[in-house]
Amino acid sequence: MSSLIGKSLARIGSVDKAMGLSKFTTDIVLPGMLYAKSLRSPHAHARILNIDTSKAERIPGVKAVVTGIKDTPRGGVFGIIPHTRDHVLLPFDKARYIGEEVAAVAAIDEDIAEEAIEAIKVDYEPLPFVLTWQDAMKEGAPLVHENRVGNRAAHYLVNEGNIEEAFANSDLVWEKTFTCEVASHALPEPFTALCSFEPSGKYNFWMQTQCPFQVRQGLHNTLKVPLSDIRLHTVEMGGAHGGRSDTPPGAFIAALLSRKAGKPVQLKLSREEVEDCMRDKAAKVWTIKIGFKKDGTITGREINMVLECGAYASSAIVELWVPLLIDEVLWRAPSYRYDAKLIYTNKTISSMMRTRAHVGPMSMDVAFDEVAEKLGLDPIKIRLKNAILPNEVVPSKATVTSTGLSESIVMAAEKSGYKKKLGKMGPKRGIGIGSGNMQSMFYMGFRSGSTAFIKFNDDGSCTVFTGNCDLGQGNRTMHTQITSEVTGIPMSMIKVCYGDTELCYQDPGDYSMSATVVSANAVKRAAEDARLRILEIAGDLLDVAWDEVELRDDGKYYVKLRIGKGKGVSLGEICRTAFKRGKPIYGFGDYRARIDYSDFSVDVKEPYNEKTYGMKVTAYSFGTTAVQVEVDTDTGVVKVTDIWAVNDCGTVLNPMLVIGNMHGQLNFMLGQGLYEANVWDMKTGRKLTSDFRTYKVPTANETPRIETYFLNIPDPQGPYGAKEGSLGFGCGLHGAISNAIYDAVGVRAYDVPFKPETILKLLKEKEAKGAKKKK
Amino acid sequence: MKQEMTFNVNGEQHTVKVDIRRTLLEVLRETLGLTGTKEMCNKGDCGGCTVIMDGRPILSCLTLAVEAQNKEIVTIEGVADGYTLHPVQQAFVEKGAIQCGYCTPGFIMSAKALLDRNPNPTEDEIKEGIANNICRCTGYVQIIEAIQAAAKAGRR
Repeated sequence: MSSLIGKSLARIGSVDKAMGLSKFTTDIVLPGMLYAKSLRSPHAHARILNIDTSKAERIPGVKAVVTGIKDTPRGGVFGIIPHTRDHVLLPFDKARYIGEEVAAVAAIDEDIAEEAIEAIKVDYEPLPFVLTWQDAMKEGAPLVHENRVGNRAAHYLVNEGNIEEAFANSDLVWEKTFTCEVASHALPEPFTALCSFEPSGKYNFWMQTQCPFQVRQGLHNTLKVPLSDIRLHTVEMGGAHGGRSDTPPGAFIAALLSRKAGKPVQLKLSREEVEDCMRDKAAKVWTIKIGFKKDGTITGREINMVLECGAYASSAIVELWVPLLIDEVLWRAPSYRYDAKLIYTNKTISSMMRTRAHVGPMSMDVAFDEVAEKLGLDPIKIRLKNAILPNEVVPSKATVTSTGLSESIVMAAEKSGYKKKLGKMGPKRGIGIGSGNMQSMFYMGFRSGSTAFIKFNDDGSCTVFTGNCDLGQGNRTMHTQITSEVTGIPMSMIKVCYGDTELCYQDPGDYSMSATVVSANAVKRAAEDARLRILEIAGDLLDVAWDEVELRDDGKYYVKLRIGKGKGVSLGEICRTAFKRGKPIYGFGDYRARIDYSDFSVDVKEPYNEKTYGMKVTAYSFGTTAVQVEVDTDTGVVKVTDIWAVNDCGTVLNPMLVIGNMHGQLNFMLGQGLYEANVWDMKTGRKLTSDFRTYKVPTANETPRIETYFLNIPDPQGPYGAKEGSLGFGCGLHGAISNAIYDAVGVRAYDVPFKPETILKLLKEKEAKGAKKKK
Repeated sequence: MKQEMTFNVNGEQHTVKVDIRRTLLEVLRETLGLTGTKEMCNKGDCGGCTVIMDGRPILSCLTLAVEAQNKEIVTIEGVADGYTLHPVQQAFVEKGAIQCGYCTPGFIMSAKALLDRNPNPTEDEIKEGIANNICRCTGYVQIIEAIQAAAKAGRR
């Protein structure tokens, strides 16, 4: 049988989706189901003094009303690490942003629930609020959380070598500040939680999440019930992209309401509620100082980052570490200082997003171009001189096991014709290059491992159980493909049961790109375990040693094990024999990331101790994009016309699916690079960009011409050498666009998105400078 | 206030009593149980709820149910012939144009409506035909390729 690895296979589940028959959370209706609405704070910051729900409770059709004061279990606080447990999911003390839930109602229909919400009277004491990180860090600023001095949620520091000495010994020291604004995930399926409470004490949930076990943990901490009393069922999910990584207040509220009403409760958010009250991507300020030798070698760099997380730390805490993981494994730095602070404001909560890493890589690619110009160096050669090579140890003491960074730079330059085009594209057109990377998994203690199980039926078909889930990128297909590759069982006879917290073992979920290296490795090991059991019985039945038997699909309905011509047994017969012997065939596989525990501590204190070093990640993906742009100098509009994307994602398991995921990442990056940004009314703290009319995302009309390439360098850790393939390659796109804008019109943009007004302003400044020089 | 209305959905005649304030999207999903048509923005910005009414693609979230009186509606559930996929659906599956799949029904309805009136569209016409549909996963490239493949299959 030919190998399935590297074959373009259609996504499993696509036929149902194409027919409109897949069941998403919003499609599920349970008998007797009630409809819930939340009452939300109209204040950016206010103490909750009293909530009077008596009028609402008397409205016919209202079945339950909950408030934080009456119903939230005390001490139940959500936060993804102990240090950031700051979020009471239905608060009783104060509201910290406009839109925060303060009470909720379940009724027999949505209209009645709406009416009841309006009948609830809340007495607030409005408090002064802060909407920017600059204001939040000022002395005497209002505190979003009273126990967090300076509104600081967390602080992370890495300090290696001697940075001052490195700068003193440099021929050129380059320093700049880069920023990115708050962006939205703008997920297609509105957040919905359906909870059905059983009197035995069990909560059944149907809801969108990309990490069911992390969400279950959050519900366990806030509802204060055993983990086994919380079941998240498998559902199809309308988008995630990092925005469904936390335990949402809606799930907690639906649980309180369902328990109180004794009926299933569906809480569905409107588009405005989704955009105002779910998750954003954190705004970032990134100040970087780099020392260079005359030949372009980096002597050291110092990074100061401020990240604004909004009202609660949520998974934005991960965003504090990730830019380091990204930066230090891309470009060498003998001396290194990384200082990152997470700051609260009274705004929508920010979390992870797939484009997370863009500012850091952008700053480096802009630096390389600017410094190469100053020192008279080749822009490609300066990159290659500083690019991390395989098996290098980076400042936080992690080892990069595989990287094709240098190869990706060379290939992107070659495929795009970079050297021939640079500086020669004609008026208002330019080319630029940028590299990026991403971690494949993230260390979360024992929760960063995955366990998979395969159960066999008596006809030889089987079901793979994995706590991993499928956001649409194709994880089900990957797990099926790998199981088939290992066992020889046709893909059509393999089903995947995923993301059900009652049926599956713990898994990180689609959290920090762990699906390929962590979850699929566990599935691969489970398949290998099953294979040995199959071989053992096959050997018995054929009366040969087990290693004389081979597994392969003979192209018929079943699988045969053959030795020599015509001799074989069906997999069904093997499975039936196993049942008869009282030892059914199964497969069990576990994968724990290769982490150097001795050197690493996630016991997060404030400020972090400097022992937060070591191997936090198993594998990193890399890649480079080259872009061509056209700049309209009358309007300031930047149009990306062409992209050449080179992906070092290890072995490519399924090219068609990876290419599709690459297009998706480039689309996300393009929107956030050119126009996506949220806007707040600074007088009230109200978000003004709460729908697709005010928050513009790319449409088909904005799609540039895209060429994709793979390096196919196997990673030693990944299954069949595969690693994260959808995000890292594209994280350099904003650097590439910034450099291409400079090539086109000679202005440098450091703030994402590259808005028309910014470009126009820069062009005017350039013109004024030119006029001055002439005088 | 409720009103009795009759309309044809996917070749079947339905007579239902609907609250005159309800949208076609709500009646399709909640009264007829046709949940393939999706709600994304509920205000006409995203194309997720696109259905075909008397041959034209419309946004069912901006259409009152009573406006469909005596009209012929095709939803995503009515596109395939039993379990045999329509060429547009088949191409979406084969070209990898479906990721999370939530926006897919809207795209397939827009694409079908486009190919019904223009069986041989240019790339720009395809982009224009789906310009009202938002997808956050695919970056549109494989969707455009799928519609091109479906057009080609239709010509054979």
